[in-house]
Amino acid sequence: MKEIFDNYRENPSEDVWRRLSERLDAEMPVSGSLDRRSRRKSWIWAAAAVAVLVIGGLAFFTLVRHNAGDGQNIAQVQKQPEKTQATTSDAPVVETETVQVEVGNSEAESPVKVNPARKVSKTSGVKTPSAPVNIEQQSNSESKALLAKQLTEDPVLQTLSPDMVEWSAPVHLSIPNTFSPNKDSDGDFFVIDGVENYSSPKLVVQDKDNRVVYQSDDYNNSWNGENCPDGVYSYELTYSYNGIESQASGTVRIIRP
Amino acid sequence: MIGIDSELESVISGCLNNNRLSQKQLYERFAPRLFVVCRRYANSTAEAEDMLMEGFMNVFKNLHTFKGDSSFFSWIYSVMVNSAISHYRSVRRFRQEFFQEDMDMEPYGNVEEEVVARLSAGQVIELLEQMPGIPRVVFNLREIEGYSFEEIAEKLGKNEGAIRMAHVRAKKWLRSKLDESKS
Repeated sequence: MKEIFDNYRENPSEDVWRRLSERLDAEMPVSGSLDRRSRRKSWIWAAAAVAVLVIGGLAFFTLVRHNAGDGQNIAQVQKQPEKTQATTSDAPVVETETVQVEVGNSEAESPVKVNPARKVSKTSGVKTPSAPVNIEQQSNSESKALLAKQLTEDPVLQTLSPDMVEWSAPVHLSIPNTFSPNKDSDGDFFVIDGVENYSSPKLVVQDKDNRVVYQSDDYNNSWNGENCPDGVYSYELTYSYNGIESQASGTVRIIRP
Repeated sequence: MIGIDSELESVISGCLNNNRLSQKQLYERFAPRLFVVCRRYANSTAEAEDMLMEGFMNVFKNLHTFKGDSSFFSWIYSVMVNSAISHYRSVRRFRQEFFQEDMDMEPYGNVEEEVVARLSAGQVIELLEQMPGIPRVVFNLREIEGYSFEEIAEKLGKNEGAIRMAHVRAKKWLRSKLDESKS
């Protein structure tokens, strides 16, 4: 399918280079004195100096408290953290387009490595939920309403559409009654919608003579009906959620048109 | 280095020196092709432009990591694809339970063949724009970039079962759109 795009070109609007060069000016400014590497080095030294001062300040502070020192000393110590904060903001704080959603997934692998020292989230002034909505304590419709409200109001969550958000309530399974593993890359697998939400779902498939033709202790939609001629098979899917075990069983027809 | 003429070589070293003119030249040379890539992954022209901008920022920031062991175009292309899909990596789960539709698996025929036979590149992009986001990403990575389900699962940090499900949804969606336009 890629071939149809071989000679196809499209130009973005003129606006895009202008925005791009503004971002370059902000994040990779054309420097007068320092080049990128030595600027990075001075960042590291500044960070190290800050760390030393903060640790020293904290140590001094706890020492003073322990010895029930006089009020003057404590005031002196408290000034220091503020002072160090002022020196770290060398680079301008930048409003970037990057929207970070706190979901705890692994960071991007190379070549797309964003330098953490430069990454500034647009959400700095906005309340960002750092944990998903705690749905277990609410009824399903209440939690849906709450989440819908958050999705419309929160600028970070607005970038997600409702069908991308996970519910922690048990999930409906959709099990097909036929599939066609004829290697046309269409319907070649017995795909159970929703099975990916359960850990270690077990699937057992038998033919009409009750012989087991397929078995899996951790089914992930990969049964392709190998060595199974066209016909009707019966399956039993065992899955558990929150310690409660459930079963779904039925028949599935394999047909290779 | 593969695929680099002397002009491109000087543009690249200008970019490595953070020279704005060189960066503009690099952008102008590759934007027309890479914008098409972004258009395939985005739900609108505006989102595609955001992806293009983000992608080029990543190109300029990581240009020093290009080793010349692949062609320059395939390097910049893969930076752009990774950038385009990065939004979907942060989506928690590929849950699609809001579509309460019948999952009867009628054979869908060979959807890609029909698409290639009937539609122009521009029309395919318009169609992809309307497809739900996660099936669209998976469809692109599988049918256009040619990654295996395992590779896609790894790229997106999701389990393979969810990827296959998204792939099925994409084909089903395309099937119904194609049938719609016939009737």
